[in-house]
Amino acid sequence: MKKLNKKFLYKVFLFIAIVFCVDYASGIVFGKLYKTAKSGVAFQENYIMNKTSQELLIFGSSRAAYHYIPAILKDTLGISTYNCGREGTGIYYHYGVLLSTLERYTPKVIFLDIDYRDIYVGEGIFGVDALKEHAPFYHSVSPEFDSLLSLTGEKEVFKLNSNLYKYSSKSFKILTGNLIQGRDNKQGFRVLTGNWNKTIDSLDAEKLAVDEKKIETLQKFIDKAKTNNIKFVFTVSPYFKITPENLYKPLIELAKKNDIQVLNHLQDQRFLSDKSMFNDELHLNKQGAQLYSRMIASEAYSILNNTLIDR
Amino acid sequence: MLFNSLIFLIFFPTVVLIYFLLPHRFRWIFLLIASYFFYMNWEPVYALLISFSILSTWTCGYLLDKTNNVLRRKTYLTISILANFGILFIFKYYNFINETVFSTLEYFNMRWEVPNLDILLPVGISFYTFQAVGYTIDVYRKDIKSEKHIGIYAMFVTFFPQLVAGPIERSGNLLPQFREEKKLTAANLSAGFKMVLWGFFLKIVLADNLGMYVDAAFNNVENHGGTTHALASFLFAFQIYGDFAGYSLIAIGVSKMMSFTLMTNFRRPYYATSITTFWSRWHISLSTWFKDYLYIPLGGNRKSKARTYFNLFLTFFVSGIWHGANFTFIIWGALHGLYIVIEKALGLGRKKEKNKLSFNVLINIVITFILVDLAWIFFRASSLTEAWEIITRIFTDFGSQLFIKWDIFFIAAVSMMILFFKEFTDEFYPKKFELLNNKNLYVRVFSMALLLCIIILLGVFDSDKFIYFQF
Repeated sequence: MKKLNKKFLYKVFLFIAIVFCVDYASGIVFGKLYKTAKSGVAFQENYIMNKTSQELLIFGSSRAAYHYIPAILKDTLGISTYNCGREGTGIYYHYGVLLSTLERYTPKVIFLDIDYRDIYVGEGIFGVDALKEHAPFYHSVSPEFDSLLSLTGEKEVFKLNSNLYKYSSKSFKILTGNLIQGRDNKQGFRVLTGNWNKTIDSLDAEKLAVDEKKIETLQKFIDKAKTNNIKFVFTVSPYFKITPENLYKPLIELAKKNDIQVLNHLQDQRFLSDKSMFNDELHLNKQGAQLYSRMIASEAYSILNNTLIDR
Repeated sequence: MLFNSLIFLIFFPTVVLIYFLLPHRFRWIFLLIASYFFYMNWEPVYALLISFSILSTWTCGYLLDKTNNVLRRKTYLTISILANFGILFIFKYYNFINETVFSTLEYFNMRWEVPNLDILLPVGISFYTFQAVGYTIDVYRKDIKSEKHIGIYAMFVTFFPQLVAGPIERSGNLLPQFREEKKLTAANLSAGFKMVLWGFFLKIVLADNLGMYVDAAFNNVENHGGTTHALASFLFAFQIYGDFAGYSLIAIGVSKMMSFTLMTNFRRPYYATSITTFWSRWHISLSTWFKDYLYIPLGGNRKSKARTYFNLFLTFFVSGIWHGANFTFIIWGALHGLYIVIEKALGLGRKKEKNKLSFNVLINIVITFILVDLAWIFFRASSLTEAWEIITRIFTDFGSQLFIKWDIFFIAAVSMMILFFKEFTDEFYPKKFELLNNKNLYVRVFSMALLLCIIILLGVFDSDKFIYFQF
């Protein structure tokens, strides 16, 4: 121990000081670059979390991002619409977006597109892991938002104290988002142009178990919407898969309990019988999205008409 | 417990602090407890296996020293080898052999059904059994005296930095170090920390990022074309290097911080100018183990040419088996054996490398890399059919659409450029352009800090495995 001389301790101090300075500076630089991103994921996330002001917001995973055309909804419902759907995310992530949105303003209507993986046990992007996508916003939204992020575990929260770590998985996207000019003239909607040519398959749902924590988060989502007088609708967009009849039973029960409408097109024959509407088993292509958006818009019109008539 | 886990960040400084605060005579006890704790973090029950390995090899070593009777000595050695390779066989190879025998007999319309064992492969079993058996052979050969203190000997087998994935240490190097009174020195802390940092860079930044692309391609062989598989195979060479060399370097660095010196395990393997020299740079502790305990006892190159070729081939064949219970590893080993035999027959690969850059050296490096990389396809693929499918696609479908992951390409490019710069200068311009070991204090410290920042920014922190743990 005596061998640890002053020079060594000075080196250790210098090392730690440099790491802290770089980490601190990175937080400032990446934070600014995140906000100035003009395209890509950084732009999209920053917009969803910090800039939306539309009356109708659509939440969900990639299935929301590719299935709901805001222009069609806006034309039918007469309210400004933005699609907050984001690839590789689940209910935990959507709830984070809601918390962030409510810190800024209160939308009038929210559609939450539910994937069956938002109800059943399963980790990865539909589990709490998706919350890591919110890392750049840690300590910048609200204590409630931070406590949501703490579901990723104590270790993860500890790591979030580093600015470098917060942006670690997004550095490339932030840089390219600033270099490449993008255009978001579709209000968050993303187009898929492929055509699915495989035969229909069945979803193996035998081993699925309801995830109580996800249901709890869905309930929190509903409560938040109710507290803020937001008209809230569950939507289930089509799959090109034969699914068990009771796949969405837990969601329907939850909706009934909370007096919420479910626009369920899971096994809609207009889609199931026409694979040309799909890009792949889980996602509609442009043609499918147009048809589906028109259907949803018209159904939503009759539901929302009463509540929005006085606007 | 993984080196890249937060718990290790707490465990290691605590161990260092307590170790150096304790009087020398108690240190081995503490280090032994810490090592068992480290190992039992995976699966407590497997501590029994490692204890069995310790007891059997220590007892045989003790008995070997007690007698000069040739027959008895051979018997003790055989018991030690059989006991340790026996547990290795049961846990690692039994199910594989059982299934192979079953399917072979089934092919001839015969049934011989013996149930598989429902067991998991204990972490590090191939490493510590080899280290322990190496000790008994050393005592048998009278290269070293047996260790009388079972606690010190247990320390040699369980020393936590190198317990689960090597380097496979030699008794002559590591055992005496547990008797020395180690001092905590600034020089060792600093040197060890640099190794740990570079090891983390190799593992977390290089290997784990490349792994995402490699996994996407290799886990969906039929969905990707030849171009993607060619790129994935190229990247896998660096993934496995980063993964294993990174782990080894962290192990060596962690030991160095505690003032223990472990053997070098990797020395810029992709700068090798032949397969022969590749094996003097890749997994050195294992290749020298096989050389000393298998190749030389088989007769090495002291007999006929044909016998030398056979010995070489057999050594690499066994090395393939060591890596895993799958035909892919066997073919990988056999392929390297074949390369070496051909090199030997053609009189190539014997020249001592001069570390001077020339056109010839460059060409040899490229050819060696291509051969090594081709063999890696077998190593990474989950079956021989899959490996063959990948190779076929690379050679018949090259130019097909590339599976693009720009963020991984970006990190791969940055990390491989850093690796290239460091290794190129170390290889051809040693002692020049050094950053982490620069003479200037500020350059040195700034480089280390920057490296840590790069690790945090570009690293993958979710990875929970090292490839070599499966062996």
